[in-house]
Amino acid sequence: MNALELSGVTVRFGGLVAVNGLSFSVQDGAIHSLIGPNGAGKSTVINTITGLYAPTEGAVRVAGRDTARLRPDQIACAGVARSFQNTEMFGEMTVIENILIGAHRQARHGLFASALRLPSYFRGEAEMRRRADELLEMLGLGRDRDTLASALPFGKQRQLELARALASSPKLLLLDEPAAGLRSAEIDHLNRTLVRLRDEHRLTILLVDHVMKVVMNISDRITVLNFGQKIAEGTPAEVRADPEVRRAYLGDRPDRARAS
Amino acid sequence: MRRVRRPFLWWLALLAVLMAWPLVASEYRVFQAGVIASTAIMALGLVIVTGVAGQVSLAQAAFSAIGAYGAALLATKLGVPAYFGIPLAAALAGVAGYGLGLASLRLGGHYLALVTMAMTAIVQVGLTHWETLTGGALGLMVPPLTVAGKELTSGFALYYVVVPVAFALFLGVSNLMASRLGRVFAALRQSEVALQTLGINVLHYKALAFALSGALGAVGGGLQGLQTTFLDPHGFGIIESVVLVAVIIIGGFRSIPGAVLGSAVFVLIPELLGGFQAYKGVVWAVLLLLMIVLFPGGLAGAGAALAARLRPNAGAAR
Repeated sequence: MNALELSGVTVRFGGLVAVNGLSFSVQDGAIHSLIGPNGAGKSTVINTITGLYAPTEGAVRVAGRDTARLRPDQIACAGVARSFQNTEMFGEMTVIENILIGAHRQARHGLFASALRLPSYFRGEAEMRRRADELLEMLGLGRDRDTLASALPFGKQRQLELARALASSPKLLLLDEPAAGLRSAEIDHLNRTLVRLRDEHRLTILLVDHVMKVVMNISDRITVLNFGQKIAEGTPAEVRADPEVRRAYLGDRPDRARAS
Repeated sequence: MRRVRRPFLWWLALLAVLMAWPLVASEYRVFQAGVIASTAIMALGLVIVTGVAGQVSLAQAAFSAIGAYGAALLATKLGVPAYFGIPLAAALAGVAGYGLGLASLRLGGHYLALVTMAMTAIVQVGLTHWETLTGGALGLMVPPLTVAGKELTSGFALYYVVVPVAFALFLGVSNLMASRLGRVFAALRQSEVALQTLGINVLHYKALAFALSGALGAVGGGLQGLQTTFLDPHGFGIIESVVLVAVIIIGGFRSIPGAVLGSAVFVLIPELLGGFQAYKGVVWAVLLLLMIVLFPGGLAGAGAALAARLRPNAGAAR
C-alpha cells in the first residue's frame, strides 16, 4: 500500500495557483523527495498534506484514507508528523520539554492522576522521559537537554524538530528542508539518521530539500515540481538525467548545453 | 523520583505553618488571610488560562459569580450545604468555561478576550435583573456554612476551611502544570500550529484551560461568599475581572505562588492607604504600571531574581 497518495491536487490562493493538478504516491517504507526551484509549491504540498491548507481540488490519502474532512491534529493522529521550513519551536521551553510535548499523545495519565500524583502519573512521566532521552541521544542533542529551545543554534533547532516529530510515533514523516543551513558534517549525520529511520524504524519519509547531497544520496524516488506542476519523477539517476529537470532546476544553461 | 520528594517536604512545612499561624495572630489578620486565600484561588484559575495558556480572559468575575451565587442559591432554595454547593457550582462553571473556550474555534486573541468580557457583562446583567432568584441589586445573603450543627462564621473558623482548600488546589494545580497537561497549556501560547501537527487538539485544550479557570473562579467565589456573607451584583463586573488580571500581573503572570502574592497586595492595599481610600484606583494603576515596567515577572519573578542574586554560586538563574 502507499503511505501517501496525492491525486490531482490543486491549491489556489485567490488567483495564484500554487499547486496545479499534482499527483504522486509515496511507497510505504521509502524515502521520497520532492524537489523544485524556489516557489515551485513544495511547502504548499506539505502544508496541504498536513491539513493546514485545504486543497481546492483533488484528494490526499494517507494510508488509503481520504483526509479531506480531517483537522490537522486528526491527520497527525493518523500517523503524519512534520518539521517546518522556518522551525516552529516552543521557544520558552527546554529541549526535553519540546520533545515531551511531541510524546504527549503516547502517554495516558490524565488530569486527576497528574493533579493527585497517582502511581500512573509517575509511570507515565518516567516512560515519556525515557523515550525523549532516547531521541535526544539519537539526534545528538544529549548535551542540550535542558537548554531553552530558542537558545539553540539553527541547525540544532532542526534536529530538535525532527526529534519532537519522532516523539509522536509517526508512520509518515514530512520534512521541510531539514538540511538547510546545516554544515557538511551535520548533513552526513542527518543522512545517516534518515536512512536509519527508514531501515530500522520502518518510517516513510517525504523530504523537501534543495541540498543535493541529501536528496541524491538517500532518496528512493524523487518527484520534481516546477510552478506547481510535476515535471518529472523517478529514481535519483533518472531524475538527474532528465533534460527538463536539468533545464528547470539543476541550472543547466542552454549555451552550456550547446557547447557540450 | 528523587526530584519529587524535596518539594513535597516544602509543601508539608508550608501547611504546618499555615495551620499554626492563626493561633498566634489577631482575628482580623486571620480574616484577611482567609480573604487572600479565596482571592488567590480565583487568581490561580487566571494564571492557568491567561498566564500559562496565553488566552486573555475577562470572565473570571463571571465564574466567581457562578460560584458565589450558585452555592448561596443552592443553600437558600434547596438546602444544599456549601460543601456540596460550592463543588456543584464549580462543576457548572467548569462546563460554562469549556463552552466559552469553544468560542475560540472562530475567534482568537483580542476578539476572544472581548467574548470573555461580554460573558461577564451578561452574567452581571442577569444577576441584577433576575430579581426573584438573585435578589437583584439589593443583593443576597449567604447562609453560613454549617458543619456538624455548628455555624462557621468567624474569620478564624472560615480560615480553617478556606486555607486548606486553597492549599489543596494550589498543590493540585502546581502538580498539573508540571505534568503533560501543563506542558500543552504552556505550548498553546507559543505555537498552536506546532501543537496541531503533533496531533494535539488545540481547541479542546484551550477549552479545558477555560474550564479549569472557571471551576477555580467558582470555588474562590463560593468561599469568598461565605466570608463576606453578602453578595451584590456590583462585586462581579468587568472591573473585578480586570482587577484579577492585574492581580496576576503584579504577582507574576505565569507563577502559581504569584497568585497568592498578587492577591495579598490586592487585599492589603486598602489598609496601607489609611485615610486615602479615594486614591485606591490610582495607587493600584501606578503599582500595575511599575510592575510591568520594572518587574515583568511580577513579585514572584522579582523574588526569584533576588534569591538568585543572593546565591551567586547556585548557577545561572532562568
